Amino acid sequence: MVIALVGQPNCGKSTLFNQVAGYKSISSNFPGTTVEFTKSKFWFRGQSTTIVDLPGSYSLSTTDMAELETMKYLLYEDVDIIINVMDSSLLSRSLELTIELTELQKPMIIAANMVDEAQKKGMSIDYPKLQKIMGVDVVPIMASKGKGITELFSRALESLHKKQIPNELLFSKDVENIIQTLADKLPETIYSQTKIPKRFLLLKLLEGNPIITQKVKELIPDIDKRVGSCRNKLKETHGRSSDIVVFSERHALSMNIFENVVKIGKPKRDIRESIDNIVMSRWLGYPILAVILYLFFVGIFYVGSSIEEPLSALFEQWTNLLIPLKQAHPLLYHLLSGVVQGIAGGITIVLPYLVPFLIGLSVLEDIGYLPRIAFLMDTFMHRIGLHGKAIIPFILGYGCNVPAIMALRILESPRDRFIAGTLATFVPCSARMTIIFAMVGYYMGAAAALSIYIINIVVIAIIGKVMSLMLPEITPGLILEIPRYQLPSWRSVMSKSWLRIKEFIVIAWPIIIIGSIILSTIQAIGLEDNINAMFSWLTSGILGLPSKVGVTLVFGIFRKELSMIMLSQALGTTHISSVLSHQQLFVFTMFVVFYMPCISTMGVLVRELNWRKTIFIFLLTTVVATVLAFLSRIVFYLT
Amino acid sequence: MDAPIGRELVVEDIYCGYGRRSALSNMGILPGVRLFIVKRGAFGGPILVNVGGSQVAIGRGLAAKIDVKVLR
Repeated sequence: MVIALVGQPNCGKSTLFNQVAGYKSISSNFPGTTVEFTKSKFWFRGQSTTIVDLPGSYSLSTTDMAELETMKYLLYEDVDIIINVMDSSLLSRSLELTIELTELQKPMIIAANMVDEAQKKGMSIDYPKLQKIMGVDVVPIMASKGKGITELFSRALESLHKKQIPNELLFSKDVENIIQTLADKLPETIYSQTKIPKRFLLLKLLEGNPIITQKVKELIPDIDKRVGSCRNKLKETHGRSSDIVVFSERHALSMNIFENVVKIGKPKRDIRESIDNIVMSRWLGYPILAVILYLFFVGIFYVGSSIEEPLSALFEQWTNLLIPLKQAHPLLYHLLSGVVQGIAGGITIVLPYLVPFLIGLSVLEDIGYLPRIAFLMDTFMHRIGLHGKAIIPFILGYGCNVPAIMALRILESPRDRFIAGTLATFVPCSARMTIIFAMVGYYMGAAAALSIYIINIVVIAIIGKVMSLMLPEITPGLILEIPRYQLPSWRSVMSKSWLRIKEFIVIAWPIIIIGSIILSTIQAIGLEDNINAMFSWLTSGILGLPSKVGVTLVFGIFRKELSMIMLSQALGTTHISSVLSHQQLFVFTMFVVFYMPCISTMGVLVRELNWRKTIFIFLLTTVVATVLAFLSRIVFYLT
Repeated sequence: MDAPIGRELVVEDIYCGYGRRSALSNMGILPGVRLFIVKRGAFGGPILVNVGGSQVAIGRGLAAKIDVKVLR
């Protein structure tokens, strides 16, 4: 049995999915974060059940990639029953998607989530009545508290056995007549040939949906002409474009149902509104944003550095234990010290900063602060030719550039995705953050570390401005729901952070360990000097660093952390400041922060943008890194 | 949308292409719909509207393409 979860963003779909599948989907309080769908298998009543969490979609009108994904999945993949998850407190808007889903005429059940929020708003919903109107079961649930979930799935199973198809909800008479006129103009076989249900297909054609129209055109080349007269008729009689007429019909239907099933009482005063008045206010909004981000990074630095120190000392002792081996078995010594350095690098340098960062990010995400940041930053993003939503890839980029690049999908135009994608690769991810904190921060102080972040932001703004001048297309403009604040649940925050930390442990860490073993081997057989010599024009020539760092920069392309972890290995000491001057530390860090994105990031860039744009980004970052590192060398030389 | 904050408004017409128009209708912003402006962002930032109980941020440029009328 395949169950598809469909619902609008922030309706609690991913939360429901996680309750069943055991935390595999990343839910967050930001519309459109789940652009890819997540699948999971579980046993229910002795039946192997697959559950698919489809990306949150306001409708199936394919205005963004999430909606397109959802529509494609529902049309072409094998789905036995749809669970339409809705936010009961936003019933009328949720119903618009539900009505569109009924057009598919597939087995369906409605999960009315967040019943507690609806009660707080003073809404009392007559679920049996709603059930009667829709023709399918409606089950009230509270996904975040795990209430009503077993009931939901057993009723879903029943509905499937009974083949419960939703009622066809009819629009006003004149619109229905035009739908019929269009149906008469099309061959009856078109629905089975395109695998698109009848009513859904007809309405999408009337809306002028480009994707469905294209699909039909492959079979009926003169479809534009056939639909055209019907669309014009709608336009004439309603005085608005045909898509607006169809959208308005759904809207009117849902308002009608809403009025039928909901009684509005007195809402409880919601403290969250007062909080929002302050957090998003004209004057206090920005200082609050600055304070939150400042505390966020200072907190990470404080936690990270207090863990790093004792751990480094411990591993230093362990490495020393290996020294007696050096004379007797040089190769074994190099291999073992490679392994120890790799493990130590993960534990002492990366994890202390990565763990608090990921937990902090999950908390901000779950509370729902990210869309507020998008609201506050919209005007500034417009100055670099983007709009507020583009801030999200940047914020995620501070964790890891890979999800940041994936989040580009929330942007509407390819141009916006290109500019935001280029800029996001400049954002120092947590790997680069550990380098900034553990090198510049640790040896030169927090102010120096902060200055790198500030330089970084200025550079991103300049590059953004230049790119938007070179690609002078107007950004589509911000349309973003600002969801309610949610109290983050510990379970969700912890499991989400764990999912992300696990990615580091299973994917990145082995690469770091293997990388440091390879570096040890290269050192043992004396290849290191050749690589270093190859890059010495850059490392010692332009940047004024010891040429020994060449090999670490090459490894940094695999994982940015490697540059630093291997630095101590390449230089032969963990007391880096005894070998590198402050100037060299700073120049090295500048270069590592800006130069080309790591291999995984380049991989997603190719997938999300294309080869040519990825090569452009690759060249741009390297040039910018070299120029900035050289400039900082000069500045240090002058002062 | 330089309408007063907090007053009930009704959407008259929306002047933009299919993509943005359907994105607005996704939020329940359609001709004939009632909404009110909650606040305007500083420095020419977006406006925040309340439509059917949910809050939606709309960029200033886009908001200018939505015609509204003040009720009463």
